Amino acid sequence: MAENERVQRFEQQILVHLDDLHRAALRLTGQVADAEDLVQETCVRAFRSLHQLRMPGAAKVWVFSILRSVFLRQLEQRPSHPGALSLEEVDDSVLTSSGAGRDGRGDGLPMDYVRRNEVGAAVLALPLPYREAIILAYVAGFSYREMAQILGLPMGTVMSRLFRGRRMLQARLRERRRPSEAAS
Amino acid sequence: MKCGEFLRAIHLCLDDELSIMRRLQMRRHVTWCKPCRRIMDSEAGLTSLLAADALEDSAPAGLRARILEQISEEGSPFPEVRSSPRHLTLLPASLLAAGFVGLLVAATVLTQDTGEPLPSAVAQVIFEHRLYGEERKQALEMTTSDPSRMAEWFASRLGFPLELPLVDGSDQRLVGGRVSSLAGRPAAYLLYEWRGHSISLIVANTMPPDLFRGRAQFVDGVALRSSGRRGVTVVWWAEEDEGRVYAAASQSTLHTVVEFARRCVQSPRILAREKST
Repeated sequence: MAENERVQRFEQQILVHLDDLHRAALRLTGQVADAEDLVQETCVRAFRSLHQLRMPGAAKVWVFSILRSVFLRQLEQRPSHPGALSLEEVDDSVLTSSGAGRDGRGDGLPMDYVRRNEVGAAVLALPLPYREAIILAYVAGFSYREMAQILGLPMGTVMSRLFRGRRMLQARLRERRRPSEAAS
Repeated sequence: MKCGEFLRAIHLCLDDELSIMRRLQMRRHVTWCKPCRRIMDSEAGLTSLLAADALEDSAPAGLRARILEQISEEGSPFPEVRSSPRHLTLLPASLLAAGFVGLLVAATVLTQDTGEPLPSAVAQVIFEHRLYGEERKQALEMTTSDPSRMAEWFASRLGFPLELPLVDGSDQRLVGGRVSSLAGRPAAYLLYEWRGHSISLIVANTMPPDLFRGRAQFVDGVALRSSGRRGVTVVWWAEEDEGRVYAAASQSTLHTVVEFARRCVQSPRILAREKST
């Protein structure tokens, strides 16, 4: 493949997802500079491996798999990073304190109270397995099947993580709301 | 549909993972079941917040340029050619005639290939020249040597009125153009043949602040700045009265690009404005 053709293909198939990559990276890392480094590293790796991308329709899943791989490698180099919290370390009380059971019954979260920056902070505070599920679903807009491909997990596990992630988010957002309620 | 069934399917519904039939069944259920509707509203509220949050934080304009610069350096098919004042000594003697002395002086004081980080917009110009200046027939969206036709073609595509420099003559011609971008804003990309060299000209209505730092040389009252990387020379300038930035790039000498820039600055303009309907 001619170099210019390769660059054009890279632009058309990978760089079109730059905004989504950046948003996801920002919510994974929580730092603007780290997010930009992560996206840049991801794109450069994607460019080097572009010949491995057989189906253009799968480009977004493919480049997000690279983003995740690069991010996890960076986390390994920083073992004390708070984002590296494992599934075992998740406090289940966070799930149950929301008042929402497994069947989705809850006391409701009046979303009028929630500011958008609070949502970003709450996503960032999630343990990584849930954070990446939430990010892939709601920031990058992937289907369950695509998420299963990226995460290398069965679809049932993906759905479970998404469910638990949502519960934790609701609990955290409700906790943030309480002080203002008390004040009013 | 019963409440238990409804509640188990709420997230599938919100995440667009259900068939239309199932979604219609769920919609029917909430029309009469108030408790389920309340839960659905709460869950939908969180989904909406996450979706709204996801629309924030577009990638900064410089990020794209940095990526393109890095990959062009990694995968460049062009040999590394460091531009240096040696180019100036190779110029034909005829070009050193009195009319060009000023330009030559300007060229020698303009910085080139200093090894300093390039402004991201300049890196993008270099990238676009390599891409479109080399693959002109495939990459140009409009091929014409007629500046009026070119201006007319851009009129409905850029979102801002374009004043196209009328650079013409026996040894120079317009090849064509395409819609491009600079610092995340629409821009006109034009390709010229100029004395045997391919020269790219990008015109944008944005003023990336990092472009206008450092030394400049004034030619006919316009501040020209230059840089270069891997054999591509870029000269850029702003015409602040019309709010436009121009950047010319070529693999020829700095002198040639500066002369082209001077011709652009001095030339009459063809105004391309979108036709009102």
